Amino acid sequence: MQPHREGFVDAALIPVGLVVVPLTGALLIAATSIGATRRAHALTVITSGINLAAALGALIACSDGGVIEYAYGGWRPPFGIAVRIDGIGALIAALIAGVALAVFIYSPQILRVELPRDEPSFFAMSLLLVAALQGMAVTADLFNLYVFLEIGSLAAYTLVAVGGGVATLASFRYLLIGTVGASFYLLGVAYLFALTGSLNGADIAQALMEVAPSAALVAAVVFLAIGLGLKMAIFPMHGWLPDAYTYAPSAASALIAGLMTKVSALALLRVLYGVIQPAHRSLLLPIGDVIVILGCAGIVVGSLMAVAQRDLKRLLAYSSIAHLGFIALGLGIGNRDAVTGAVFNMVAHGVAKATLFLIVGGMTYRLGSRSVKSLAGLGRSMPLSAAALVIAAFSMIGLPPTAGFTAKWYLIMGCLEADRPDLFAVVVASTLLSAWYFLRLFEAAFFSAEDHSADEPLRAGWELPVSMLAPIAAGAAALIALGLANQTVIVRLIESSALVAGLARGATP
Amino acid sequence: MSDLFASRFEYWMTTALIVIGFYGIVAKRNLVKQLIGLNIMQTAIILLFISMSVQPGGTVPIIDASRSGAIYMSPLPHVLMLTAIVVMVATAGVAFALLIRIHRRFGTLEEDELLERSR
Amino acid sequence: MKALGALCVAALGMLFLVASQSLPPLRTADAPIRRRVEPYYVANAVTDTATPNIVSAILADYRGFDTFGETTVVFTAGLACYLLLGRRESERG
Repeated sequence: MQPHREGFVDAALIPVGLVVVPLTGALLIAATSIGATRRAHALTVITSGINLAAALGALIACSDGGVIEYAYGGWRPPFGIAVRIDGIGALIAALIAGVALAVFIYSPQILRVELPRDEPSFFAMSLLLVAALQGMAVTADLFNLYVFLEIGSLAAYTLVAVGGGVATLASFRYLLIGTVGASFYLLGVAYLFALTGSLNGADIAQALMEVAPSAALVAAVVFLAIGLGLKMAIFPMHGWLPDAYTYAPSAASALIAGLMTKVSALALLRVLYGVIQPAHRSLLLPIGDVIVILGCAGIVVGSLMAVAQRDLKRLLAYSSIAHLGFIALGLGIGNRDAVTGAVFNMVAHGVAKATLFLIVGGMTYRLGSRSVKSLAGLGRSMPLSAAALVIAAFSMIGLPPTAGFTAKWYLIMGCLEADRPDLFAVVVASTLLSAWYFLRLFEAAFFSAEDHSADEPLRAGWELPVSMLAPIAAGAAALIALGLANQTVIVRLIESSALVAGLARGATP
Repeated sequence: MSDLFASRFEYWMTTALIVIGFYGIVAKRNLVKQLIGLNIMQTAIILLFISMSVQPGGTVPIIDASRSGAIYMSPLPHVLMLTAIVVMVATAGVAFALLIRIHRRFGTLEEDELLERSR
Repeated sequence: MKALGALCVAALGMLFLVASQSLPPLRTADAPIRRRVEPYYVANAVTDTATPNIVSAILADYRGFDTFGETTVVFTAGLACYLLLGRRESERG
């Protein structure tokens, strides 16, 4: 239980700040503030602030190859449960904390519209989701990951269902498919446990050196991949996503769309390349190929379906499927640039999609509608939101100087290095498609002949309350900042982590 | 062949249960039946885990100092499955709450009718 | 659609049956799951935790964080039922 980096941050503080503090916040809200919205909101913002501070501490401690290792209760793995945060884990922890804080600052007004009188319980549930996601991002124990996966999933199902009406149907579908996914993941852990006798990721990786490749090992990897793939909405397991994102309340959509699937992708990355690959690289090649094919299918299906949508949230949902296909593509190719691109895409897409859902929530708040048509004249009636929309859309398409450009760039480099020009073509084609449907939105917002800007808005006053505008603006600013500082992030956090440094450059042999 | 079966029949039995549960989820049109299938599948996975802890001549994993050299059943699968059972029950609880909401709102729990009534 | 479902189910069953052949046999004394962590638990549970019940020792001490997560799951489910069923209002679906 030696902390890796002594100094200004004691190693125990960071896992506590990341996982236990949001949980405590949820408990406090449930115990003291049901019915007291303002107090619940204050508690939520304070706990997410502490969460963000812990995540920033992790970022600093884990840059340039640093690792935070902590054993709960002092029992060293594999006898106890351990936390292991590397550069990538710290990056995702910061993503979770940052998006959560932004959404929580944004939420009160829109919740008053969509979910009156339930705000405290909503905040408590969201804090549980944040705690679970942080727990998933930092744990080194595969069964512990399952427990946090289920906490987060239950919270997500509920957050979707409080939208009422059709949202309950969407949530049940999500529950069914999501729990099947978690069960498959548990099955994979069971098989790995039967083969090695351990539950700690690094320990299993070591134990697998002595296990010969066998059908059971392949089955274990397949089950783990199916399980996490279901959570990640890889094609063809994406059926739950469009309805869930569309009918959930706006604040919930931003939180779930931005974070839930990315953390599952991180888990898949760690399982495939941290646990299985060190000992059984050849086993992963065919599985990687299948993931690549499914990723491409997701990209194509997501992009094509997005073009046809009239409801903005549904359009964003299908665009999410396409981007999760990108992440799957990067993970499947498996060389250093592709995986770096996939990780950077997790961050870029998380921030961009959350910002976009917040903007759509702002439209619902002010205009009462979220159809593509009601975008008309947005440039005049809601100029700041429209500008943020442009920046976020640029990141989704992959244009400089946003973060999305860097993600796409590394992904393309990975495709070319792996000698797969066909994948390069798929990426380019989907970039053009996403440019098409996003530019259609710009046209509606800025150049439309129709103009709803003179329509009486639902609420008087300036464009949006500051508490709603500030997170939107912060999201857009973060996309540009990440895009400009991408080399710092990539070199110091992603490429310096042992996981990525252990990957080959170029075509996998 | 009989040895293959004898030393692994728990795997085969739990496989059958998992397949039955999965069939319930994909093939049934009633939401409650799908939930039942899900539950069967989860229970089968729990049984699979627990079946790994059995040992010939083993006894309950409570250390009895008076019996030296006792063989104990493996305790770790039991611990993990205690947690898994709780997770399963909690998920079923939330699922039933959802079903109650759905039934209140739409009056039915058949998928095809729900599809119509939610248009 | 039912045919596709039946196909998935059949494929899953085949995968299981094939994989089961190469899993370690059950009810043997030297399976991998007994060799790695279990000896430590059996040898040290009483000295580390003063509990002869090894399952309790693991549940509450060695892997206490999992139990913490488990209680959080119950809390989440309870809060979820409150959010979903707490109020009977006719206009909320």
